[in-house]
Amino acid sequence: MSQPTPFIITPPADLLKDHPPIKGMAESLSSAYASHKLVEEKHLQAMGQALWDALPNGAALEAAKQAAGQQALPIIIESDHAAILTLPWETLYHPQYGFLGRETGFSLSRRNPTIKVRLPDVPCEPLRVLLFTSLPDDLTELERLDVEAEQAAVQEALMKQEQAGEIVLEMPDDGRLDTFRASLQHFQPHLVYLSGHGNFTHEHHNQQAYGSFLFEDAIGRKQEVSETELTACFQNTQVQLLVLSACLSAKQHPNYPHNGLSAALYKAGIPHVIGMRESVFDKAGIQFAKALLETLGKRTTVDVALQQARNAITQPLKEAGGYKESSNPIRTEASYGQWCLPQLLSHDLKQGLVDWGFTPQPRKRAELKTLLGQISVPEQFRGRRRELRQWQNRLRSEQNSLLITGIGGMGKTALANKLLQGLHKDGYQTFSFSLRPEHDWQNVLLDMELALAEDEGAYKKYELIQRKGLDEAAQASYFLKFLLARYGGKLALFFDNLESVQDGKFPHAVTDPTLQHWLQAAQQLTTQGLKLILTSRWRLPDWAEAAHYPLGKPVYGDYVAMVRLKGLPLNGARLQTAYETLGGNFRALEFFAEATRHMSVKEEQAFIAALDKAADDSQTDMALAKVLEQRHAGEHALLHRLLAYQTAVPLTGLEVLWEEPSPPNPLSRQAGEGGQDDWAVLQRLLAVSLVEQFTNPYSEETEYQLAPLVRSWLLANGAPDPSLSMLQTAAEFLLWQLEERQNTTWEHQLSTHAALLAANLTEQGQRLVLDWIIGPLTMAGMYRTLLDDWLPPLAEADNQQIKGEALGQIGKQYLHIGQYDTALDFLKKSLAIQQEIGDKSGEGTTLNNISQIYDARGDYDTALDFLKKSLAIQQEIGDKSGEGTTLNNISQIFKARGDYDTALDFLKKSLAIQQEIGDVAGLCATLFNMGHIHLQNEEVAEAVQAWVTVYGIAKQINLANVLQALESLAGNLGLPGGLQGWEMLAKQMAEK
Amino acid sequence: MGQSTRRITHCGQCGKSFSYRYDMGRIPEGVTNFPLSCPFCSTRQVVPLTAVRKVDLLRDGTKQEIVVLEVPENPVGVVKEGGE
Repeated sequence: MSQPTPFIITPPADLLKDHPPIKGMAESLSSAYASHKLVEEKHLQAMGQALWDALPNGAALEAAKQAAGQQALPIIIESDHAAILTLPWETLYHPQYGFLGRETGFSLSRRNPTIKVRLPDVPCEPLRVLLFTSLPDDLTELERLDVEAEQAAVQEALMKQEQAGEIVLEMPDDGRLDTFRASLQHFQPHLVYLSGHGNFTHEHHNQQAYGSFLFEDAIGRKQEVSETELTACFQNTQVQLLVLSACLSAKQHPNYPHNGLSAALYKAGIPHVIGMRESVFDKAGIQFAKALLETLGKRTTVDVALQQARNAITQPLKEAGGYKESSNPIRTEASYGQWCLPQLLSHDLKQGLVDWGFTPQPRKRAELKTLLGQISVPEQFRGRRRELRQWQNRLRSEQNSLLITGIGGMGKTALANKLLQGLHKDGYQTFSFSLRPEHDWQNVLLDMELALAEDEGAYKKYELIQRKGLDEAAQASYFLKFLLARYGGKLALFFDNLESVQDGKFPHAVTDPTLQHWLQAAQQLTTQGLKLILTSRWRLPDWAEAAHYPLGKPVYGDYVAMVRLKGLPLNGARLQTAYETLGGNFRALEFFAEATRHMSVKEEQAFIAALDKAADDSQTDMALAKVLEQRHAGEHALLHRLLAYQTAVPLTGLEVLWEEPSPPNPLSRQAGEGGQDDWAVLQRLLAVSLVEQFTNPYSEETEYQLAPLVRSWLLANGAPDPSLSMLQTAAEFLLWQLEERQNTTWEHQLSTHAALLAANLTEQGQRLVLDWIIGPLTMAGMYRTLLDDWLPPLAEADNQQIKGEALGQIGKQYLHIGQYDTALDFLKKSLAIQQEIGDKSGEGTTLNNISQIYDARGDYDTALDFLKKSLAIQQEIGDKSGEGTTLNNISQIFKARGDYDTALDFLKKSLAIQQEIGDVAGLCATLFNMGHIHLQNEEVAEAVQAWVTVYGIAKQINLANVLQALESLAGNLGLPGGLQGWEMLAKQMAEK
Repeated sequence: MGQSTRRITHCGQCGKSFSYRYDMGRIPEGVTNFPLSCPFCSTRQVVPLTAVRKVDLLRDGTKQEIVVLEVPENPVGVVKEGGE
């Protein structure tokens, strides 16, 4: 449908000269707005009538309207005179049609014909809307805008189109200029709705006038940004419409051209700019936003949408129930006259925001989550804007600990995680503990120990402390002190779900003594800069008030954001009721939305009444119980299978469990369906938030797990425990992932180990420790941890091969810490078992390890004997890897005796084998030793060549111990710069 | 980590399919089969890799033909006779 020909009004340049009263009328109207005086319809009509009477070609309007037929006739005020453009043309009043900027048969906009710019292309894609709000903390109470209400209104207006995939809405959670700039560039919106405080400045002495907008600075204070700086943000964007929902954003000074926010941004080439000519009341702004975006979402042109939005705020405050909490009747009344303040400057009214000819893709409903260690957190954080900034700022300054309390589902973990992300951005190393019963929080201690072990000196000190036999609390304190120093004072610890280890009765003390020690140690170290964040349902005994934040009800806008994000089937009055009844509990809302999806109005009312009576902390369970009650047997069967996993798994992990018989489930009320399509069932469970999905960053595969709350509920409400056979199949699947290198992360190794032990697959669990855990811990130098925690249970294994290997490993750890006699005892015990059961491979390895003890004692002959025996076995059974290592060790005996040629011969043999089998770590060790032999032979170039090669390999695959050895070597050789010295040499050699 | 490819793979023994990440860096030179085991029936099997000819343009302007191994679409595992 083509648009009607616009009716262009070109006011004569000397209009103000010919009609002197107009200037005075306009000025007094402007000052009425500025001083919040009463502005009534009659004032606007007088102004509009005067403007109309001053126009020469008014009579032609009737014909143009006739020609437009049923369509709205666009009226364009066209002028390039600042003084003319300053006049309130939106009040234009026609004796027959009334207010031309408000009546539905018209639209009213402005154009400056002298500005010619190339407009952006109109793309065929979903409309991207950026809703950016700024609300600095240092505004007075009267200046504070209800940005949350505005955000809620906009979200509600666009919700349907967003779910349908026609619109994509982005709402950053802070109001900084940098964020605005980044959002414009990354998100490339077509429509920008910028909401906040605007200002207009006239500098007489400089002969200039300009508009500005108040952004937030890094800590939330106001930062005034001038129109020039704001205009620069729109370079390289494809913004079609900018709405400046800010006071005075369309204000211009009559003496200078193109001044003020709207005019400047219009000049910069944004096709349509809507601004406010005067100060706008908050409530009016909110209603205007909703009406404008609702209409634009229906694909209306900008001018028509604006006309409707003006119409929607003719009595804004009356409808909204008054001006904030003001009891001043003048204030309330003064709200009339708001409708004529929005002004549209448009280069071309025909220019659309997007070409709607695309095929929209409805939004996927299931939300992705991410895992912070074992803690499940939403991938996108929404809302809690004030709390977030308040605590972010406090944590950045003097505040070092924070306990967030509240009932389940209020978003404690999400908020804590967001705060932690902020600390991480500021350079903090973070460790997160999940205290939920299905997780082993002590695994995180192991991660922390591995991190400390990267600093050899600090770790040695810690080992010294360990040997002193101090109690657990003192050890924890020293450990955290060393770790804090390791990260230069930037360490943050997060303990989630503390209620899992707290006494249910007041004063809710922590019941796990080990954790108690760690928490106390952490708390003490907050005085030295350690940041400590905790979440719990209950406050801890004696926890300082200043470091406690009881998480309250979120603002309604956050609730709407969640409904949008998750595509929940709620809106309007039903959503409002849910918000009031559930006290803003997010989790309860999710389940409520699903539980009431198929209820009749009466059933829903009864359910709400029951929820209303229930205690806050049982509402979520009630809603969840309803959702579970509505699941059919196939869905319950899948939930039951998911109980077998304590970690997220890909779809195959669930499919392997289909073979397992499912026990009768008392929670399932409907007949079994059998033969379910796993994928479809899973999608249904995801849609009702019983299951969470993640993208595994390592395997890039989608993985699933029970929502933690659902797991707890099922276990507490009679869901049958997974059978042993099911636990075994689940554990074997995790092991399959590890052995097939589908997921070899440290977290996965520990989860698999725990699953194997829980499923009574002890032997496989012990094997996993030997094959996967010992290596990294040895490489990290964590010999004590291996001797104290990991190896003793293995030395008691029924399986003799495991036992023999474990004893050998214990011997090896003692060898590392220089306790040769103890080492020899264990190695001999290991050797005896291996010889008895005929474990040739183990025997070869142990003989080799024994040789190292004699080598260290300087008894080279005995060492060589053992090495030769080891070599013979390895050659006999074809253990190439062992052979390579032994040849390398033999070379060191000859080197120690000063027989460098023989040493080099053995190293060459070792190298050949390691190259053949691709043993990179072995290769590095051999080349490293070859370098030393060359140096002894004064073949410096060859020595350097060997070490540079080692450096290249170790750097590529990040072999920490080899790099460390190279760093020390650089020091010994006097090579400046440590590893950088090797890097320089590598570059120089490559250039040659 | 070497180049990896994810494929829905079909077990040559039980016929079930599963998503599998093939890390080509694990295959030594000269080997044209990818060994794996089935998560459902634990049967060890191999997936024959496909040789694909590719032309590389060298810096001196000449071209060089190379053969690279790729995992076929929807691969089916082959269970060796008399295997484990």
